[in-house]
Amino acid sequence: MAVGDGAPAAELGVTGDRDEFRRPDGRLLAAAGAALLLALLLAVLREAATAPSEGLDQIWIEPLSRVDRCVSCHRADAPAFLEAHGDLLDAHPPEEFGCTLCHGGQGPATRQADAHGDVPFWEEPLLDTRRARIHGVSRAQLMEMRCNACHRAQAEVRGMPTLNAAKQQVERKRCLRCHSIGGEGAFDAPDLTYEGDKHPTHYAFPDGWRGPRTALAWHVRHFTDPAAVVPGSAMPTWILPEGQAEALALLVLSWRRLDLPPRYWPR
Amino acid sequence: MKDRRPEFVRHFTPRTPREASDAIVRNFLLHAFPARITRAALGWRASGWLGTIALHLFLVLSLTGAVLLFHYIPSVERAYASVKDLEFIVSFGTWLRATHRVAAHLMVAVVVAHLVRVFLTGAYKKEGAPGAFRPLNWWIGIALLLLTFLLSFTGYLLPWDQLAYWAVTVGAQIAASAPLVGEALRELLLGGSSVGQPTLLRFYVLHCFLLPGLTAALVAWHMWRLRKDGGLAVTDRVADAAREGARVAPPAPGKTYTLMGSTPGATVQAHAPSLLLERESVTAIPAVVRRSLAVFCAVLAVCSLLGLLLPAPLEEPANPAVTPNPAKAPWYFLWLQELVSLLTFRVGGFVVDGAFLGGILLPGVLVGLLAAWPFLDRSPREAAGVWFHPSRRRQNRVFLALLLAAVALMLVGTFFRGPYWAWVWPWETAPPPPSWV
Amino acid sequence: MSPPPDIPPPAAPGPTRRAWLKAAAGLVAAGGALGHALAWTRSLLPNLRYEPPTRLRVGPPERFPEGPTYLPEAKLYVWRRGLELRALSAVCTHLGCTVQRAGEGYHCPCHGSTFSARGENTAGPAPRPLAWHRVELVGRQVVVDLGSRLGPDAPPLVLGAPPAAPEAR
Repeated sequence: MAVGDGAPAAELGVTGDRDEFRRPDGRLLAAAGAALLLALLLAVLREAATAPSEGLDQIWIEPLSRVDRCVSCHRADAPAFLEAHGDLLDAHPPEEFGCTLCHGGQGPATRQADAHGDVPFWEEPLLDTRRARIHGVSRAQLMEMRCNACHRAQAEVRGMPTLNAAKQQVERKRCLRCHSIGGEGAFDAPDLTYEGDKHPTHYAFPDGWRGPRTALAWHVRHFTDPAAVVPGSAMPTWILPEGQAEALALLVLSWRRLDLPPRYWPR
Repeated sequence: MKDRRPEFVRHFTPRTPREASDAIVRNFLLHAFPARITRAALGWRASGWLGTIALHLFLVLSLTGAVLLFHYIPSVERAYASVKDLEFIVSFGTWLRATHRVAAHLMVAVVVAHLVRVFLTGAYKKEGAPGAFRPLNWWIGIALLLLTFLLSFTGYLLPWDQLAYWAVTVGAQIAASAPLVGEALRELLLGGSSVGQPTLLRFYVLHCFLLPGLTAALVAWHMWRLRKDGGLAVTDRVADAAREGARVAPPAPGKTYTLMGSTPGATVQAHAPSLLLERESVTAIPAVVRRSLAVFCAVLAVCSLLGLLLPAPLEEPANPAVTPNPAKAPWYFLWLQELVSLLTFRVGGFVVDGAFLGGILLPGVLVGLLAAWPFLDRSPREAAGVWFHPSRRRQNRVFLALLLAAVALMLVGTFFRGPYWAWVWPWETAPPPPSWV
Repeated sequence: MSPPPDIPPPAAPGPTRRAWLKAAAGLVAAGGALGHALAWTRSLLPNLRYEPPTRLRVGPPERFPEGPTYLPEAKLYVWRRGLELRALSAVCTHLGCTVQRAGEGYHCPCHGSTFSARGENTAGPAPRPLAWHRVELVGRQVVVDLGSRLGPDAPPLVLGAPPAAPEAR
């Protein structure tokens, strides 16, 4: 007991108590404080490291409730951008269409891996060359699938050679004799109007499936050999020209439900 | 020397016990503390400070939650996008959200650990000091445990992703399996027959206002009861020891200096229990205040650092048409999910519904047993406030066995359940789910 | 004059009446307060819902080819066998997850219940078979009554022989 600090020390109390808690608690407080500063420092560093170098930017398309932040890195006024898109921009101004409506990818994201969408829990990844190569098609062909979500009612669209050909195949093979598409045709086989909306987990991949486990690959296989993926399928096995199975698969997957305001409808 | 500091600061460095207790009484925040606290109660060993840590986690959750409230939009069209925005364009948004989530998980764990501590030390026992009634605080504690689960569960829905949607679909269906009131209960919870906008709004209000308010009120009551019951249960034992010491301690050998000169034999040092108890205690200022502050900083630091390391997940937007496979509840409900999937059985033509048995009846019985335990526990009063008292060996074993069983089921649910809830080994990797392209 | 001795002391009715009044007042106040709480809670139970109708028009009968057709929004399998149409709910009877077709039967991803092709629960925690819904023909439209919960032997909608279509395409 400390004695001799004057009058108060005569009483039992703080100044007189043996305070064995001062040191350990002081140490804990110091350590916790240091950890707090460390966490703050790390958070600030991470914030600085992940921010796009040019700063954030976005295209907000209010009528579609969509936002695309691709422009944080890919400037929409760069010469390369204008050259690559050509006169497509006349009918599809970026401020009205954004980027991901055609290209896929995660519009709200601001970091590359997330934005390109090849991450868990994002269902519409960027349609890039790598992804196209997995399915043995070109990037342009893969993107026609997105174009046709809006242009499905047109038989012939400039710049969509693959799906134009696929639409001719639909006529030639007389798909509507069994299937129904967009309220036309027969109902002896599944209605394909919104086949592109069918969730990938609802496809049955047969045992020993090789190649990518994607709806696109499933449909390609289905067009070349229906019974291989749907046992007992009544669909005929067509003899299709080179690349037509892929074209038809892309066409079928382009048939998706879209709620667009009328001014977005093609002509 | 005259103290020149302003009055409101001066009382934090009191020079006498009188000043110390005055400061406690005068200060709104500090008056929750006692004026003095026994060294045993202040130490780490008696309680692990788990209750305080749980409270501090609640504070961290309230603070981070208050910030998140400014960003979140409780509408089915915009909720998911507003959480994406937190992740991508709000400064420190990812960190804030992850910290909030980590703190929520920790709070569930720490509140359960607190209950385990109170059980193993018999601190809920009804035999206490005159005027004390610890079972009441035990009941408040059980209510706080349930509130913690509810807070966590309601917070689960808000991101409006697949995880959220299906966890709540399953949870509401469990509620609906209750007899008689089940369907009404589900309607009340969901605001309809399936999870939708009314559900989101209900869970938002519950998570952000009603449940935190109730929790804060019950926490205040919990702490007030602790004071009324004479502090931690270990204090009763310290008081016993002090009384015992006062009764049996032989006069200390020594000399007493009197006016007559030195007299051999007893000294006049005090043997009053209250005085001995005082020797076993310190003033709350600065000891308790200092340690509380240190613990708060440590809790916040742990949450912050873990929040940087463990990002909060955000799955696909809620999709009523597609059930994720497998659809897992959060870890602290996984033992219940395991039970609801195990407990359906048939007796002849009669089917016992696992949802009711595992989701309502069994948890209900467990909570009921916990609540009744202070009156079923026959151990002597000396067993309160002592870790693993010999007289409590059997009940401690049963309690720990039940706890371990729940933990084992959680581990099974976390690591050994794959698609269709089938058994998988952790080293077996399921093929990634198929995608469109 | 002194009062007659048999008059009861004037204070006697006071306390009992007061006690009675007190109890009544307390009861009324408590009842009123409780009633308020009940009324407010009642407001949380919806009287009309912004939900799809339970009697669902799913289209003309020709829409359904032989075998199952899955309608994701309604979580419904419409089965056609020859001229018979049946509707099977895809909502697991355990905890409401959506079952998927697996082989001939159905499989629930949440807790592993399995169902036979007839919708009978064969394994796992599901306590009841999947519900079959009543299917009717209203005009040219097939209508599924999602509110009905029938067994596997529920009568199907039997379509007449397909008309010899004079106005066919």
